[in-house]
Amino acid sequence: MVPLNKRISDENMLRYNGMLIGVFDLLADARTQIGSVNSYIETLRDFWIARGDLEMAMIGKPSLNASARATIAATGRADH
Amino acid sequence: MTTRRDFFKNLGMAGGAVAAASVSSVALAALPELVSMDNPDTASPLTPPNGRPYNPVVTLNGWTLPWRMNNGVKEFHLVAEPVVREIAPGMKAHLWGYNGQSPGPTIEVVEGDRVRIFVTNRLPEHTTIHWHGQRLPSGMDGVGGLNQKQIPVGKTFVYEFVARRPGTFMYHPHADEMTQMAMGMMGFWVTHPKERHPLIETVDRDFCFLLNAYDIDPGSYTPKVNTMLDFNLWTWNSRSFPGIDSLNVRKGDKVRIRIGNLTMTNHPMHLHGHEFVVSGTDGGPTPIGSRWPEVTTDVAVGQMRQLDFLADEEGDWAFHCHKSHHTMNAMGHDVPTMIGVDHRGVVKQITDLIPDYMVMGERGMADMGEMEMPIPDNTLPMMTGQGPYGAVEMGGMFSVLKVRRDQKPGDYRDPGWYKQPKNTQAYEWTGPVAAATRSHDAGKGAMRPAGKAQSQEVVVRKPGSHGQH
Repeated sequence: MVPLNKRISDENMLRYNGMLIGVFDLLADARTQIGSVNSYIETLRDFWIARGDLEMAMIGKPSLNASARATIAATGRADH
Repeated sequence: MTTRRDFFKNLGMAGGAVAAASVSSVALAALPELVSMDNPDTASPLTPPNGRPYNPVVTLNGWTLPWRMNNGVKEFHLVAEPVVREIAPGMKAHLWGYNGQSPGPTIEVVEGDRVRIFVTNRLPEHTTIHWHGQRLPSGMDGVGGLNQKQIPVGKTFVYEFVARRPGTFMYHPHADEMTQMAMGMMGFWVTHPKERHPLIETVDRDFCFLLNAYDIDPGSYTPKVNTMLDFNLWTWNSRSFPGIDSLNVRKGDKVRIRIGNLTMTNHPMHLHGHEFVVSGTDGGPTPIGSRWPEVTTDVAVGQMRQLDFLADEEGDWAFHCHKSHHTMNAMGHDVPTMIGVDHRGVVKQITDLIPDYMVMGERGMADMGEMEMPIPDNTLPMMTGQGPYGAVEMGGMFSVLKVRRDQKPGDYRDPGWYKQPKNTQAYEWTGPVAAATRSHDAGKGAMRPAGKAQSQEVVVRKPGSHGQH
């Protein structure tokens, strides 16, 4: 999505140069692009949280020693 | 005129004949030779090699279709096919046309000629040809379904009639007409008078072109066929300025310009430096008593106008549609007006967001004509063109009539820019300019008495609240 939005922005810049769209369209597009970068970051975050949950579930019953439990609690993920 | 491309086309035809054994080779041999054009330049006038003589027309950025004389019948071969047309250098459009170009070739005949036209359909759908304005048998009028069966894909139909009345005509499909005309299918037809006609003056130069319009999104190639009014390319013979050739004439020439309108709106055609009369329409020559001098004449939708004038004023004279939006190339009709909006203050913030941003339009739009900025591929700048004194800032339906004393008769070549004689050009005044005297009189009649100047700001009532009533 992000490279696609970048391409759209580049093409919109060309359209602005040709007086085919106005500066407000350009700003709206910049906002869309910022939104798409933000949602990329959020989606990435969601992925890592989900993966952490998955890995925790895979580990199974918590019969861990105290130090491992502390690591999981602190980072939200089970390191290998 | 047979190009390499034609050679292969003809080869293709022959190959097809071999493959389809049911097509008799005699029938194929009976077809006139397929002549095709591979460039958008203005061809020299085609002096008639046979038949009654006449003074041929020059089709702007177009050409006249050669014919074959067969037992006294003029035989033409039109091929409806997809074409690539250069709208102006830097932009090519994927259109439908005839014999390699859009519009198709001009057909020139003489009043009283029997004409046979073979129409081969190489489009992906059926088609017909309607001979706009002609007197002919109803079955030759070309309205699909009404006058004839549509010409199916790959088939050839024959139209045959006598060109009964001299004048200016055009041809276009009458089958899926909206789509096929939006794709560029049309052509010019001139029937010359067989003898001196009291209402048709003999002229030295006779130009013709069709007005057409396309909606081609910036960066794309195929016109949007469903657009009805909001076109972005206003063209003459599917060419737009600076791609339209100039009309080059000799000083003292009697000049005729024939114009047909196949767009969806009217075009007030305006010639600088001369007065003309409308000497004919698609209904024939106009009576002398109905002619009056004009410098602009409106060519309405589906109409043709024939302008006659004496080119007796030397120079480079603009000739254009007077709807100023029609002398622009692709533009955004929804772009907000920024005149008077001083947004230099926010430029820094905008460039932080959009590094390539540049302020445009706050002092008018001439920036566009003067600066060359990267724009989408296969798109013509909204206003462009370079003249001898700077940017012409035009596009679309604009060309130049060049009147020169040393242009040789029969020479249609571009003589270059006009060299102004000394002291005949607008110049800069360098003396002082006094301030204008302003009247403070409010005026008469229904005007309010002047009284004290009121300073009033416009009160804007925003919608959304009903507190006032």
